[in-house]
Amino acid sequence: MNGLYIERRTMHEGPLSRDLAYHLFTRQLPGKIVVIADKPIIMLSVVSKQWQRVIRVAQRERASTLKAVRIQELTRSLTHMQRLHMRAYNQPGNGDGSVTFMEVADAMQNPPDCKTLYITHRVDDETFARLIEHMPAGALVVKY
Amino acid sequence: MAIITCPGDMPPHAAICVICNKEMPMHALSAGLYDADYRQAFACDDHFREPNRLIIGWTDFVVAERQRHLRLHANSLLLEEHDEWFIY
Repeated sequence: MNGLYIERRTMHEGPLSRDLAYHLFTRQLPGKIVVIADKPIIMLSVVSKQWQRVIRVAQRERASTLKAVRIQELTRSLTHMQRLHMRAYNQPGNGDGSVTFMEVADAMQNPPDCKTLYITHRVDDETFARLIEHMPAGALVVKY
Repeated sequence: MAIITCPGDMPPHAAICVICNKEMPMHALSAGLYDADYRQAFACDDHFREPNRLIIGWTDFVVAERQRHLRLHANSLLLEEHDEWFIY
């Protein structure tokens, strides 16, 4: 599989967008991120909302800790989180985003070259192979 | 279920969770950031049930790896070039 990590996520509690936002927190540094969704604009909207909740949890943790290095790291992380640019692939007027939401049809035409790919709905093996063909070795595919 | 495929001819069956430091089977782990050696790091999938612990756990991991990375490259003249992994 191109030397990729493949992860299958099952929901613990709450919606997919919540799990994806927390997973995004753990993957926010290693390069570009693509989310494949049936309705990318709606998915962008709900993940952005959940992302704001993750930011608030991180802010609360920063406020409640006494460890200086942890406060410093959370401050760095929060700055990055607040600047993280999410966009839908076909949204006009936007340049590249750190997190791009796209439909599977668009991704089939332009297979993503990213370090993290989230696939939020079922795709067949052929489609899956096409989606990951440009991903670099060591990248991560997360399937819901 | 979490990690189902790893790269390499002999993929690992288990790895250490960076949050609880326990060795766990790959199917119980989720992939996150890279460590100071640019290797993939993992945390237990169960930590997604505890958002606060998840955030603090990964934050402490980055702190530790940043310090380790700086120690590894302490003799480098161009330290900032080696620090690019950590730049947010």
